[in-house]
Amino acid sequence: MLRGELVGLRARHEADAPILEAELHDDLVTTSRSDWRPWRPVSPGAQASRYRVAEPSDNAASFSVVDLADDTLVGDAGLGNIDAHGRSAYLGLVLRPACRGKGFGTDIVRVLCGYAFTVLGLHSVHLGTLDDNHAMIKAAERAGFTKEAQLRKAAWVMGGFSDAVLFGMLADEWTAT
Amino acid sequence: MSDLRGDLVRLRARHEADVPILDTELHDDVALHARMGRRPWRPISPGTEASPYRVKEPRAEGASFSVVELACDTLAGTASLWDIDTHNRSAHIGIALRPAFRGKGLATDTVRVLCHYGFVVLGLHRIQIETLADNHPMIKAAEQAGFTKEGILRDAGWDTGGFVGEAVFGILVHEWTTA
Amino acid sequence: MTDLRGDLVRLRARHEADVPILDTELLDDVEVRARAGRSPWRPASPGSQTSHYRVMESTDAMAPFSIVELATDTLAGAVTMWGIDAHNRCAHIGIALRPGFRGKSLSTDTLRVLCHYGFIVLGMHRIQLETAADNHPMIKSAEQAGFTKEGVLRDAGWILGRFVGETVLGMLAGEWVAA
Repeated sequence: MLRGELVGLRARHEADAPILEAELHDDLVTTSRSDWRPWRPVSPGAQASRYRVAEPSDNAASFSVVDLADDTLVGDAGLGNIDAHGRSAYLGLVLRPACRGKGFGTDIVRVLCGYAFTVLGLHSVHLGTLDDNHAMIKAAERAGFTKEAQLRKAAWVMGGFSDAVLFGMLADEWTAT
Repeated sequence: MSDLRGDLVRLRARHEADVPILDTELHDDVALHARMGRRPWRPISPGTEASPYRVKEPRAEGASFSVVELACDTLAGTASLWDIDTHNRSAHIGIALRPAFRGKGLATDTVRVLCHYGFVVLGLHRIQIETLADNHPMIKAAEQAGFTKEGILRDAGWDTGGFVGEAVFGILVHEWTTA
Repeated sequence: MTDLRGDLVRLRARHEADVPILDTELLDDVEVRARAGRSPWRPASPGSQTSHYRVMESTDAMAPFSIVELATDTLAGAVTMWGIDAHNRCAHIGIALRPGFRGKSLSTDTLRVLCHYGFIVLGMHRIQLETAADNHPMIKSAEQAGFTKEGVLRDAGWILGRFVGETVLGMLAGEWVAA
């Protein structure tokens, strides 16, 4: 398990999947805001569930996040698009509704950066979100990310096009924090 | 929590427990099936892949839902957005309610929830409903949900022993938004 | 006959005869390939199925073209619309010109033709182009074609011994109609 101050990141367990599917996937707004793909109905146990237990791979690392205080499941986080040549990856996280606004996001971002820069040896980590996702943007800025781009109207979200923002952090910036 | 929910029903993914109920009450009714489907009724054994109501992986071209009545939290039927065409940004609606759940306004509410999914979540431009020209409950549901009757395809369906016309209804995104 | 044609170039499907030329001039050139792709240069034998420039089927997500210079009716390079996302209605452009065809404004014209394909034929809402932050000719061509620079992903790519930023440029459908 990877440990921060508030959270631990461990592999997905079978028992996590139905909770994350019910609270995250089945919430259309949460899914439409956090996934590039359109929301679709996913039956329990379907292979298409993004929260199912999956084999580890070279280009993605998926974690379940737990609260270190009481070991309860807090949400889903991970690295995707891990590029061993450009030594970069994208970071993403989604918290269960009851676990938002408690500072978990910043801690998760820091733990994932530690994994990316220290364990994987990456050179840069990027993070994309909608430009009105203030909680995610705050977590990124607190963890030391820099805003690098504003992709105008890049995502279809619940009836309209929204801007996406991209943040980045480089290995030497991480070391300096 | 934001799910697919109207005044009377919510739509969720198919669960395994739904399948035998839908197979029995919708598929095994030969007369009903003849009016719903474009294919002739055939016997289907429980639990086989041929069941139209089996649990499937999601696909880009279609989204299958189970309809749950909110008042009693009970399975009320099936609904789908099918032939989702992201180039022309159109799709079709299909609905079948269990016999005991008809005549309660659930179909109109289900159509409205499917329109929200199609127009808002998926970003479609047009949604279409086809039904037999004498299927007055479905026609009423389509009209109450704001669809416009666009025509009748004469003798387009074979309904146990005779040809029947097929009514085509459509709604465009700006009509939905202003409704 | 309405094909994909600008003032200086036309775009057509890849032909088998294009492949050895593009493989030799674009794929076998370590520096060109390192700057064009996100993967390290590797030796590829003639006819390799890993070649970016082999004849391949178009898919819903990708449309590969060969660029032909109109003045000489000669193969000038390759351009691909990739990552075509019908839900968010976004797509990306990747372009590579043969060395003898650079500095002649062909890339600006190619981008305009591909934007026509993306916005008018495919119905996209946004087209995006990524290039190395020090690729000034490409950035200039994109800006001349009407793209707006939206940011630089610092050190996002490894190019021949060092990290280089990646410039992101974007154009929206409304800007294309206005141009």
